[in-house]
Amino acid sequence: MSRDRIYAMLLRHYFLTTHHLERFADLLIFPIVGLVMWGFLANYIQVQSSSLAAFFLGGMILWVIFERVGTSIGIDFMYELWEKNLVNILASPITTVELIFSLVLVSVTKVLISFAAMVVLAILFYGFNIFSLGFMLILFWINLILFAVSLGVFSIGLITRWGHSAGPLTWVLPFMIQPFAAVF
Amino acid sequence: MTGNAPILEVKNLVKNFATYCAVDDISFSVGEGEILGFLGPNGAGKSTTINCLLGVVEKDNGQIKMFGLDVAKHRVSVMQNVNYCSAEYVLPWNLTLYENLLVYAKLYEVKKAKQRVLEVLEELEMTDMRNTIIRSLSLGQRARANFCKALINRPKLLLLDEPMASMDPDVVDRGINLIKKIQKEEKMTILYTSHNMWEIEQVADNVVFINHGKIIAQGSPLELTRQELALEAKEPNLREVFIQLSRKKLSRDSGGDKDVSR
Repeated sequence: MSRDRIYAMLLRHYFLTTHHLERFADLLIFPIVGLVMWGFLANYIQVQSSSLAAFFLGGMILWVIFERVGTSIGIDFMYELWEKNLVNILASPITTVELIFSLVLVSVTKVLISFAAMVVLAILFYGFNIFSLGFMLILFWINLILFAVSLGVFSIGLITRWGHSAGPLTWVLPFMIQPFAAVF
Repeated sequence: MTGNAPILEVKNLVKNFATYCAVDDISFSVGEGEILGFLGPNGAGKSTTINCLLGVVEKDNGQIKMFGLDVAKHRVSVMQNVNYCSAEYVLPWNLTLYENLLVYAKLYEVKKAKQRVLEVLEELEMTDMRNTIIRSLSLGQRARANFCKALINRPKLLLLDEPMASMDPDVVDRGINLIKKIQKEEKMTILYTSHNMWEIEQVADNVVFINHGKIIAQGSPLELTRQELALEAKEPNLREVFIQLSRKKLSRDSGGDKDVSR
């Protein structure tokens, strides 16, 4: 693997994000709006049971990790199709492994930013600290990311095989898995 | 074909899409410093051949060698000396010209990437537009931006797939002069496809004509004109040659050519 080529792809997505305001929505606004919405619900439920409230908020924060990584890999790949740039990228010396690895790096970086923002806001607004779940949280976090990455790569496979028409599955697939994702 | 050492050698290339044979056992080579016009009607298999050369599409059979190396085995090192340009694929619209070129310089592992980007911009007289977002450029400027990307790694082999499709004659004329200048300076080998026969006559040393995935004629533009139109021709007339050859219907069942144009 070439560090230069992976750096090139990271640079490409950094430039893309800085030029697309809606990508900031993906990065921060959607996760925060979700957190606030579930936070209100958790506040209401807290009256009955504080553990149930933590269940909702913790589940929400972990779900965002899974959903964002899973969709972000597919969407970032779709950007190359939407911008008619995929052939230019594939015609360069980049290998498939480098391309996928860079997409994974981009989405993990983005989810780390979303996660950090959500953790801070959950503590500030609702007094909920997800790290109170302990060391097992880290293992679960890694597990979720690996599962989400597999799903993202699967989406890329579908898009490569069936083109644009398979694109919407990028958003749908994580929700199909939601009942079995074990985040709640 | 020019007698120079071949930079690109294609042997028995085959590409099928389900039951449709897009490229049917073609072989050709391009010598060092040569410009080969790769012609054919729409759907003839030109772009599929180029995609196979780039490794974007996997070939079903045959061998592709660039600089004497098998592309299937040495793709990464080979592609560092190859680049590609097509009017169909633009640079990402929401990035500036400079940002795009920097990304591609890094993708091709160009040494002193930032310096090279500025050099290419200077060479193609686009320095003033370095901070312009691609979608704000005119069609002609976008074509030049594509050329900037295609030259970023100082390629020894350049694959041009209709690089100036739907451009006005002024832009085409400037583009042709640019290609001639760069090819002369860098001694680049070029595979050039176009439906504008004037472009090909201006730049190509030799021409390969493909139809229904098969090579049906090859030679210099003048040789082809003499072969297909008139033995005594003194000037190439690829437009008429193109029409003549395109109307020749290949009889796949009989395995031979059946001329239906006359």
